[in-house]
Amino acid sequence: LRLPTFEYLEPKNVEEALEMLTDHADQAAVMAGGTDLIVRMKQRLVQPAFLISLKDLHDLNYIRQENALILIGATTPLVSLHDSKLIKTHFPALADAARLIGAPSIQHVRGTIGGNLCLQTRCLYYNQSAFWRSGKSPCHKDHGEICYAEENSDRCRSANQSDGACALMALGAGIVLESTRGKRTLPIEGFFTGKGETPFAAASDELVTEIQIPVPGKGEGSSFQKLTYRSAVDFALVSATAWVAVTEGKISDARLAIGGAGASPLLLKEAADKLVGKGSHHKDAVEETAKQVRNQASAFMVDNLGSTLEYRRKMSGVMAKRAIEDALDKCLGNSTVKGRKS
Amino acid sequence: VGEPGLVSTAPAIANAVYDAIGVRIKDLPFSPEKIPAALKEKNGKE
Repeated sequence: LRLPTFEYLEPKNVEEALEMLTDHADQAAVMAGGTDLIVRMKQRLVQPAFLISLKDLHDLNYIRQENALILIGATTPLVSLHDSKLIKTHFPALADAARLIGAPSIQHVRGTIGGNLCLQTRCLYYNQSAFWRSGKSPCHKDHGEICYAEENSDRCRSANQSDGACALMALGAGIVLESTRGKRTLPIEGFFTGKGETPFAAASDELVTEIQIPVPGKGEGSSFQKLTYRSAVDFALVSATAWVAVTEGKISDARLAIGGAGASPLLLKEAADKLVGKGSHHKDAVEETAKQVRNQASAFMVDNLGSTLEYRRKMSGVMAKRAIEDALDKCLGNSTVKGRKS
Repeated sequence: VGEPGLVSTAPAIANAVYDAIGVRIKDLPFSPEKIPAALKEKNGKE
């Protein structure tokens, strides 16, 4: 598969990048690592006239603490996240998520956290070659009027399979967007629209420059769990992130996010609230929460990511349960990043 | 050296699965999702 033709732009600093984005807005695509964009360009899913590469924007490669926030630059390589002591200690879920994106080679050489956050929603009937799609009329995401994932759907049902986004959703991150018009910070819930056709709330001239996560206090833990068909280089069939805070043996606060269901990582507030006030060893509360996660996430899932829908629905609860249990473990003193439970 | 056949491997594992859960799965791979599906079908029949 060959790349379509485009003009390649290489800004040397953030200001230059923002000016280029303003000039070309709708005709431009921003490339951080390109691990997803290049594939989509080859498949002719996106054909930008201008490609703005962030390769030389070294100013955006950092992880540092400022007061009560951890700041992560948008072009920070994924490997820096799972190697960073700051991230590993404070946000084991994010470190784990970064370690499970693609494969080590992708994490080391190209993949960035900003790029992963902005991963386009995916669907089995959309992420295919131009030739494959040429035999069918275009779907909603392809500017058509059909959905192949769900019969008679009047909108795109593609799913957000970004591991980073799922983790950041549960961690309550803030996303900094910059353009020549200025700078604004969106809570991560506001960064996603929930629409398959246009999943992000960022305007076409805006660039994600930074991710901010509040530093957790004592007794807070998080965990990320991912279900894939293969063990590496695979998108999540369903993923779950749990963040919990424990005070005096009781869960005082919790956030749960499910990936691979719907066009945005699902933040399940009601399910998470079921945990609040329960003892940290309350097994029934975890079971009950997992059951509710399964019920709520199931409503957003359609048969569009491979595997079977029934299995994915069932596993959304299982992943949530594993994430909650692991996050609770980490709260209670064991804060090291563990390998994926099989 | 040579190229020994692997014909018997898959059926051997299929037999192991049958021994464990009493269900014959006839298509590869034996992915985790097929197990609950097969069990459900079996229990539904009985």
